Amino acid sequence: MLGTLENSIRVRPISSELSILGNCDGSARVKQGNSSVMVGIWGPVEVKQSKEDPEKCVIETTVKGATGQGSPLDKMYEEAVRQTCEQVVITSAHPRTCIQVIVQVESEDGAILAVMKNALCLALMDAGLPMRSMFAGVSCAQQENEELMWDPTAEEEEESTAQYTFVYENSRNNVIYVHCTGESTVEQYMLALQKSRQVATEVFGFYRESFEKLLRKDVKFQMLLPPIIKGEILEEPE
Amino acid sequence: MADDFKIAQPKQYQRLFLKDEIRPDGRALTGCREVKIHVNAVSSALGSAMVCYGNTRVIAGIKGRFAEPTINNPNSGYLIPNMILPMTCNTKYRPGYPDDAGVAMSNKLNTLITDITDLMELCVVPGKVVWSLNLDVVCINDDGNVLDAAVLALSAALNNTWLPATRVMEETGRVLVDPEGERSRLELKFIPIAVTLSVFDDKTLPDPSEDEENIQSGSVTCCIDDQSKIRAMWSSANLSDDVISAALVYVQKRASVLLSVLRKVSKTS
Amino acid sequence: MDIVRAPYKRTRVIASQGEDLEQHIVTPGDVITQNLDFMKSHGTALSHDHICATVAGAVYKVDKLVSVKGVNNRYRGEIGDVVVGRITEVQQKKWKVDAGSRLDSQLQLTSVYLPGNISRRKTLNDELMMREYFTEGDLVVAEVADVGNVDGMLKLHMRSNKYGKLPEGVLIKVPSVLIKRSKLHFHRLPCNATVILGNNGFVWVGPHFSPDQPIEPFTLNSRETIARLCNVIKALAAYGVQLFDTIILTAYDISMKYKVKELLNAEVMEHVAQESYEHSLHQNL
Repeated sequence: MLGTLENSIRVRPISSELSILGNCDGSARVKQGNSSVMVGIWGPVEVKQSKEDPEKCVIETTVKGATGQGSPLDKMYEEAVRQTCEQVVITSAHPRTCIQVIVQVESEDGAILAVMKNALCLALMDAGLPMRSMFAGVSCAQQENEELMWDPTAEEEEESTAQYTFVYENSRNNVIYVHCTGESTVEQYMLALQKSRQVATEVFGFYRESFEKLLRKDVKFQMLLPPIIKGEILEEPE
Repeated sequence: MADDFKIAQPKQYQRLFLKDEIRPDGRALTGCREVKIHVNAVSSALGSAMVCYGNTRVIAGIKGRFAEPTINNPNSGYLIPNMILPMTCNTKYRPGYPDDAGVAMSNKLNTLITDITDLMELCVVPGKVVWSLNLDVVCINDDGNVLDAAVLALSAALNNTWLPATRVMEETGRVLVDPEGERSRLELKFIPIAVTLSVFDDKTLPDPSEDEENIQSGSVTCCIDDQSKIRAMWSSANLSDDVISAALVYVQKRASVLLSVLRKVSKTS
Repeated sequence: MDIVRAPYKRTRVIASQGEDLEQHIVTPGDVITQNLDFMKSHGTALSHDHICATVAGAVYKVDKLVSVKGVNNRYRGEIGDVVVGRITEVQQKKWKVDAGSRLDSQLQLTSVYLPGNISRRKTLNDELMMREYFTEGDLVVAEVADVGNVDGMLKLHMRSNKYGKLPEGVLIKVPSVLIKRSKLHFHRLPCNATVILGNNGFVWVGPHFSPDQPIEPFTLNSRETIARLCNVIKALAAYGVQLFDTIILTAYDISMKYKVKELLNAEVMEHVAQESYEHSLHQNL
């Protein structure tokens, strides 16, 4: 997975598990180093009339941190998850319904927002909700010597002077979510934005691999496929 | 009749205006509402400011009290920001539990003010008594873009905060405020200014009003300080790199305008 | 209920397609084709000037219709389907039924034949007595009368005396794609049990019953039969075998050499599923 990244970009190995929660419509767990996040998605499901929207589906999110006790950061994560879902999920396809997203942070060791977004994307795909594109989260930190590093651990984040989390989507490679804190110049910010895109491309490749594995294993899926006859393939996509 | 159309089809309403390069409240596409800053609005506070962005009004007040420091940082004081969005500022906020939007905004203010001042300056008696400053930011009227107004109010208030002198009672060791002593000004390492742009269709519109906030597809908030460094950036919109660059250029210009207003007001107070 | 076992390697029961699937697997945002002549179905959308996928899955093409079928699909419902569901709410003039679809299905008071098999206008008394007919938690079997085209909510009806409340039995939920479409859904099996294969994947197994006669009390034998049938259906579903009456009977016969509780072992389930499938292939069913 790390083959096509520049030499200066090093990220921790990423692993995923799909469809782990039996009752959910979609679920995924993503681990990057010691950071691990699990996401469960129900939907589209019934929503109370007071909350329903006649034109699109409402997205409700709940984030629970690793320490069990609620913290104000949870609300920030909830807002982040909801905003990204609203950007990517085609909400007009399911009016008057609700999509419930539950995020459980299992262990935190840096880059937690990026890991959360990755798990969110896989869970949305697992649930079969219509999406405009996939999205990937990349976490970047600027060290004291002004060099950038990617996928920092918690310790590295503490020592850094600026922390960035970018979420890219793969249809036009635009960035759909940014969370940046610390102190950085405009030039440093744009450099981080442009370089982090490479990591996102790797993550998209990883998503495809994860899904192919899942599709091959799924018995119901095998049942659905008709025998594919060579010669009747659609035009190859560009 | 126009009002009915605005309620029934708010996005189409906005599009008709944008086609003529104007926004529904008469502004140019990159125009911002008039900003008013009034420092020392609250006389009982150590520092305060009221900021108006058009009809959006926010007050920031700084109250100090004495507290015990933590064991890890025995000489550091506390800065505790709190954003309050009461139900009186807008009908969308319900009474009871603080709204999620308010908590999220408090988080953002908290990130902005880390490192804004040397917390050791808030030390009164090393290891025993430190200043704990409550930074309360209350929205009085929400007509869109509360975050920008809140950050400006907070910056203006902090920039005009005077800590009273203190006296230690020798017999009891209690610390009291000395009204005759010389006050000391709170020194800030940087002054953050936030500029928010809302994204609608393919246009980025700065300083959105409440109507524009309700129909936007996403927004970008960038905080720049007086040394042109980016202090924070929160974006939830689908943007290409070029649009982001252009937005940052705009943000820098706007921030310098707001900073000069803030400095002018601070000097005269 | 779940038996915890060490992991083991699962084998395929269905004959593998053998084809390379890679070129047909798409993820959201992938371009399927630039040719706009194709009609778009589930899982696709028009984006600028090409058709792209909105879900992750395989591309499925029938003549000019292109769709993407993903992994997890909730039961969608079609007019005429027979479904088994559980009453979740009693509202004014209608019941809400959980039939495994996105939204709870609706069962109107006007669509129900009351006991006595008379179709008549419902009076105020009937409205007040709704709970006497079906209350929360009851299992019912009904037919889909209509599918809401915007939100997919199913409207159910019971315009026949074979539909109605189900007596005591067992409900098994299997993926809805595994229920083979056929004319009959109510199967009175020769082993003294009835199996109802709802199109929504809800399968009810229980004793023979008819609408007017009271149910005989359960004997140990009938309990065993029902338990065996349940385990057999679960085994078939676990290995992705399509369910219909003859294959269930075949599997039931094959399972006779095991004790009922042995049928919960993974290896036994595999064996039963494998043999039943091969048996049905031989018989060209």
